[in-house]
Amino acid sequence: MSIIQNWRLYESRYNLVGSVCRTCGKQYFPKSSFCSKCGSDKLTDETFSKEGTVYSFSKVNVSPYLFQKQTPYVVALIKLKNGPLITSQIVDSEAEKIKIGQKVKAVFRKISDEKKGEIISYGIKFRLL
Amino acid sequence: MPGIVTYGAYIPRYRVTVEEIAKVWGKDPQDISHGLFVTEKSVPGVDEDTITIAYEASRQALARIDIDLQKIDALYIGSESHPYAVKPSSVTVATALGIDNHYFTADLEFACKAGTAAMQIVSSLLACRKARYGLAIGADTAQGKPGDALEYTAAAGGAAFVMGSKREEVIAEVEDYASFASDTPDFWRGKYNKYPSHSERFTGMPAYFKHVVGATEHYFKKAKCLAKDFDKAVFHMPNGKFPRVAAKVLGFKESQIKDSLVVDLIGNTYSASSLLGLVRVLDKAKPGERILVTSYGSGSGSDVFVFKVTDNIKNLRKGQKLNSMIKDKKYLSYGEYCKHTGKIVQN
Repeated sequence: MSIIQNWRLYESRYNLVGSVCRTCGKQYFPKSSFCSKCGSDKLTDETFSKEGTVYSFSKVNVSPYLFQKQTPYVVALIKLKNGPLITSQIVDSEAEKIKIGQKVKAVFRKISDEKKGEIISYGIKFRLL
Repeated sequence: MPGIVTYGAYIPRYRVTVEEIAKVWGKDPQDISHGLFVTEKSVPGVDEDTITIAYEASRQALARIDIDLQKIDALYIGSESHPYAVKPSSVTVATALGIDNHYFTADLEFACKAGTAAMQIVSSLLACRKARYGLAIGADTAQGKPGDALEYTAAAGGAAFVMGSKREEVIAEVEDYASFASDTPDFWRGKYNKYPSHSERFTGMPAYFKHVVGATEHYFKKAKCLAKDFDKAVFHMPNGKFPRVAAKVLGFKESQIKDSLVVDLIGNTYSASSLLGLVRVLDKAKPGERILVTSYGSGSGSDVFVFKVTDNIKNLRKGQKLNSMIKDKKYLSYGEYCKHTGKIVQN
């Protein structure tokens, strides 16, 4: 992702800002300008809760290059409290200690290992409560 | 005078012991721990740095009060491990916290005293009514060269203080602040160097003690007071020995400094060191107590702050105590510690 593309996502990545369809109520993360459920274009920004529960998860042992330093790590589907299902990492816990349904809270972390001379990407990950 | 409205801290979960480091370098861990009064230190997660630590400490602070974030008119971060040489940490932290564009800000660096320098700037902006609230943050992921004496203590952590001027909100009033500085080459890191260098024993008497004792005595003289006039004191903690010796020289008893000595448990968190000591003291503070804080930054300088705890501290929402963060830990092997702190170079 280019520096500018990444910059455009700061609001979503830093603060869990997504969209809600004002016609049918469907929630989107990241943001969307069009509702795939009802076809409406009446969507507004919504800051979602920084708490949720583990819906499902997987341990990653072999990762893309930019995540190598973090392996092994856990990627999970998180059901946000009163919000949508999103994909994120669960940090500071071994995969063996994570259970479906466990409560998690958002933390602010580096997303990937920085490449020399590049901008560092930051964003939300989750930690067990 | 302005004061602290709320405060927060963050310590990464990871630790490496002095024993684990000493084993690799063929040193006697007991000798080292005995000399430094440190048995283990905090280590950042692989995806943590000064920006993420500063954010987490600030979030802990902000969760304890109801505040309109758009009234935070100043945000300063002191650190000697800002992730970029050129690009501010402060704007990323402010954006992530949800503060809009109208705030005074800068990244500060003055070795280990940059956190109290942030507090001085914010206090001054509040005093001259240029800011309604301000965030002063000290955070570091300190680096020690592999095998060097500093490797046993260079740790990671952060502390954040929201400061304001409303009497009914201030939990610890700033009574006064003062500084003491000189050009002293005890510890430095060159422009393109990964690890700092230091002048070994020169870091003691002509550096740490001259400035910490000098700044505190300067304040004593100015305010016509002595060690006995304070309930608690906090001194910068490069190791466990230096603050204890400085306190003794200045006439403080062990009981006045014991709450502040986080170094014994997590090592030297550099720009966060004296501020985390203050957090630990505030976690137990009672209304009416007077707290003296003297930081130290190599190069060299010391800042003195004097706080008086107010009745409002009883109304501050309970946050996560520093002691509980310190207890939540996972030990790393030396190899894992190297991976976490970027000591392993991958081409």
